[in-house]
Amino acid sequence: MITIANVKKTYETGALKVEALRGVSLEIGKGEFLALAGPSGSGKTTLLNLIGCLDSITSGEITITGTPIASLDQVKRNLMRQKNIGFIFQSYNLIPVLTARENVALALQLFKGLKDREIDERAMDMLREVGLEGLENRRPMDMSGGQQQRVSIARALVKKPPVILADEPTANLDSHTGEEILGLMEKLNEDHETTFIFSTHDQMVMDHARRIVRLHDGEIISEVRR
Amino acid sequence: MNGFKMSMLNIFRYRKRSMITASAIAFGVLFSIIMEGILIGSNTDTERNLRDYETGEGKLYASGYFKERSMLPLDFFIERKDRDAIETNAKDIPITSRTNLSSELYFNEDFFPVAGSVTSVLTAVDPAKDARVFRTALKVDSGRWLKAGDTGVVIGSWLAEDIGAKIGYVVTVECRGRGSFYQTFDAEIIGIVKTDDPVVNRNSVFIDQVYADSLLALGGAVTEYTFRSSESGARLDALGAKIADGTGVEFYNWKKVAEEVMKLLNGKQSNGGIFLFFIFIIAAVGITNTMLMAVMERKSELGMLRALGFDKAYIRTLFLMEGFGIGLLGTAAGLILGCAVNLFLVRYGIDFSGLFRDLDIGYRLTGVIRSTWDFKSIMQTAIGALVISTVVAWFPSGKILKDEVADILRK
Repeated sequence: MITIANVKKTYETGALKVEALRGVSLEIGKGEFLALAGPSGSGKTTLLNLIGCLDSITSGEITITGTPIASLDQVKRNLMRQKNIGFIFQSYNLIPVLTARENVALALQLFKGLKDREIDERAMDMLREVGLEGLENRRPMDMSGGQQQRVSIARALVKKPPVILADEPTANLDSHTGEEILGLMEKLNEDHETTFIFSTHDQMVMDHARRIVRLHDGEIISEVRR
Repeated sequence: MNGFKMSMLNIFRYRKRSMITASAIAFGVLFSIIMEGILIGSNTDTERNLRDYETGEGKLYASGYFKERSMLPLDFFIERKDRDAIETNAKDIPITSRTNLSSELYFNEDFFPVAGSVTSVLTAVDPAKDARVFRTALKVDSGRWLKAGDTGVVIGSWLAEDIGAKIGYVVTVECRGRGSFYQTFDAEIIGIVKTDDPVVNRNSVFIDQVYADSLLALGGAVTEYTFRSSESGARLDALGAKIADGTGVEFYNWKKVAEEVMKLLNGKQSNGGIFLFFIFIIAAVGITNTMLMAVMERKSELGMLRALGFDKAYIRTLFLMEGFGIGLLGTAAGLILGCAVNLFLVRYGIDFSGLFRDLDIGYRLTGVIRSTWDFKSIMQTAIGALVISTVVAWFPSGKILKDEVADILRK
């Protein structure tokens, strides 16, 4: 599903070079529920960004569903994200002026051939699935953090991508809501066979993960499967 | 859900900021409509007053007079023979002759509050024909207009005010006659004219042409002929040439006669354009600033849109539409306000009598300046404001869209 082969990422700020990843290799199969764990600066978010085609790889290769992404240009990386990857952000990143339904529908807007009515129905179905039926016309500011993260999950899943990347998805939520969100993601992972990859340093998230990959100073230091 | 709706909603998301920026554009549009309206209105009124009180549609001068005309020379006359030919050529065309001379008007304490003198332009007119060409005779404020055989004078209203003149007062006029001899004569003020032309009001003294002829030994000659016509451009020039045909006189259309004034009017309109350019620059800076702040504040949203797969062109279009939307609000408000204010200015105008009374700024206007409706310039202003608002929204999004999505999200 996803093959990461000796991936390095170096950030350059003037004369300063920071090696965020120092040759990471990993195989991630279909339907995994995987946590990239580690302290701040360990490289987990950088790895997530590289898998998500949000940043360029310094060296090495990542292959997603058979497509190597290191040499893809911006347009092809855009297409890769559009078709294969859903994102869940720590701070939800919803569009405040749009309703929950519109935020979810936004992810389908780029899919040609889908009619407005179909987009609307799929957005509603997804909101129903994440337990937000009745709240579809609310704007983010009128929703709790947990509800906003559910909208964010619905937006990531509505286009049915094979991979969902979640950067610290529970970091802004209280523990009870965090549990609910993780439970929801586990259910969606099972129902849709979607691969979920989290970056986290939250033990609760790690407790839910079926595979934990620990990073430290840009290298994988351990791996646990359950 | 389309991008247009999102952009429009984003305008109202930062309501105060959007409204402030739209207000700057509205002010620019409002000011533009008023400035253009007043400038064009002033120019139109000035041109009309020039033709009504000074130039008619065109003038005929003896050869050599045109170049020296500002000095009011007494060396170039249209003689009797040419006058007959001109009047025959003109047939039914309203035409009249005048002679303009530089003069000094003396007034003493027998009639006036103080004694003194003032430089004036003495114009000998044909009372019977003058009103066919000029509107001066229709603008008598007190007393009456000249009649053939009158030995009195009619003076401009501001001149009368300046020296404290009233009907029946006697002034002494000093000027040169033909051959440069000095002539001095007393004349009763029989009329005061209050025209729409400051030049006439400020220093004009009118006298009967027959009486002037006898005083100044003109021998039936005059310095100019002026006519009215509905023709313009090449047809007017052809008409002037036809009237001058068979004589030694030269024809100059009114724009040529008043070329200094015309240059001034065109210059003022150009200056108005520069001023408006700066107003739109301010509006453009406002939009750029608003868009820049919007980009900075919405980085995470922009990053998310890029992460979803939206390309740079789509995101840039969102900002362009937002700039267009703010521009549309500002332009609409500016048009409504501008048209409302302009409606008032077209109907009632602004009273600048104090300014024009004491200061000669070239306009042939005496008091109220009225605006006009120039729909072409209003449309240009509106389209210009919309284009500027949209185009300047292009730049702020440029920098951030160059970055990697991860960098946008990290920032």
